[in-house]
Amino acid sequence: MQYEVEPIADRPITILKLVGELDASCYLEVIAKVQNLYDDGHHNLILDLSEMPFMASSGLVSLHSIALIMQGKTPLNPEQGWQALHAISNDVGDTNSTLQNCKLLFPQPRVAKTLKMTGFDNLFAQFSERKVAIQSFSE
Amino acid sequence: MIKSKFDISILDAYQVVFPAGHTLFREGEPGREMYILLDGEIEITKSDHILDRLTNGAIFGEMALVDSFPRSADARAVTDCKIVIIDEALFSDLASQYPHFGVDVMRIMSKRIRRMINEEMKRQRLEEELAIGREIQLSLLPKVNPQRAGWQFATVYRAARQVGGDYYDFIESPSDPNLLTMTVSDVTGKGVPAAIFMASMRSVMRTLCIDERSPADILKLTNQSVVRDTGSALFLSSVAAQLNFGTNELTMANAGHEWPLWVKASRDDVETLVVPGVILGAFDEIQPVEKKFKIEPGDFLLFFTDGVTEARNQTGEFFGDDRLLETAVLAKYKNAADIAIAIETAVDQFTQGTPQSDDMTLVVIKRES
Repeated sequence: MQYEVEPIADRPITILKLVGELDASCYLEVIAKVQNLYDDGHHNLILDLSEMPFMASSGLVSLHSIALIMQGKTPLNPEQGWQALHAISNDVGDTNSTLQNCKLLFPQPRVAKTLKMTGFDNLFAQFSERKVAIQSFSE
Repeated sequence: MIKSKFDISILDAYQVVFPAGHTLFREGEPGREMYILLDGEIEITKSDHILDRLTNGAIFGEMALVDSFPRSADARAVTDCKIVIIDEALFSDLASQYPHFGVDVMRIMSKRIRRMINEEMKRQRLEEELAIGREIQLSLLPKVNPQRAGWQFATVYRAARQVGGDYYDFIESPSDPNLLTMTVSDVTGKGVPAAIFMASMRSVMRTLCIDERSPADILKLTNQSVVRDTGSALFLSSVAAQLNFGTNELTMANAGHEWPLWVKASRDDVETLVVPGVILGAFDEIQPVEKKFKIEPGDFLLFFTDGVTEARNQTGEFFGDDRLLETAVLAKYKNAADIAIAIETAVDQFTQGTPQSDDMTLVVIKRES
């Protein structure tokens, strides 16, 4: 997996582009990357998935963990127990509320299908236009 | 590490400086030199996996110099590195003039060989454990498919090399001979933890099926069990369906699983049974919905796991939804067993023996014409 980080000028928003397939070989690395960004003050994040053609089921764990990180919660360790992983559901209230400070941009068809199939489309708002994704963050 | 009996300073004249990021050699390349790292840090990797990080005084690349086989790993400078390059002629000179040098190299090679033997033994133990895991997993699957007049059932289960987490089951209703509940599930992880998790979930789902819970309840209560009772960091996608042989209706609920296909005898297209639902274990509470489908004579249903659509060929291309749909439509006049074989064969022809990383499960249910 390769990463491109792009802070948006004049807005406290960062675009993180994930380039490559999100699978078991890199899902922990993706979590760590987002954690580092959050720790460095990037608290509004757009995940650009335009060059991520495939997400294995382990990628769901990444997204789940990212959702928690973006809530400012303790970093997840998927190797350590279950409780932290499903704690995110308490943070978003219910499965019909999307996260306010983390959005997805250009999810590719296969990834979009996985998000829809697994119910993760209820957790992350998805956009097909960069401008609209940026505008979706409250001023 | 070079020991003190050999004075490394005699090699100063041969040293070369490599900048950080420079690759000294790659796996598969012919090797004609060995290296002594005087200063800096070298990373030895194989298939992007870091095998070793070497620091001052380390010897590397000696195996290819001695046995003339291609390099077995990559070597890359992590920092700027001062390195002495020793070719076969220099190696012979040094070994004859300074016997301690040859002894030190042999000591390092001996240590590496011992480490490789230990790693091989660990690998063999892991393989044995995986084999046991696979056997356990297979033993949990139904031994025979249901037998019903007017209906055909066929299944394919193919385990990937690693123990995976696919699982399917059929449970007859204890009180109503017309009802059969089935589940198809896939644990998100792999290995022995996924197999144990799958076995545990099988027990939960079986109990709920025998208790004659509805498909939505089976998924909802299994989710509660995953969230409350397990300590595993795994998700479970699952579809639960109840087939009523009296009414020919299928009632289905889905929890983040691949949407099954409904191939109709009367039409050329295929209906994807999109029933929304959240993957099990991701949220504290879920509310699965149920949908009913009336299965007509000649129709068949295809339940599957992502090991089918995500099977890859040598170029990394996926078998995909479209090929599965196309194969299913072409096979619609066959019996259930032949439909399963047709799909399995299509996947095999597509992958051309490329090793797969995921289990593959197919369940075909056909109402006879």
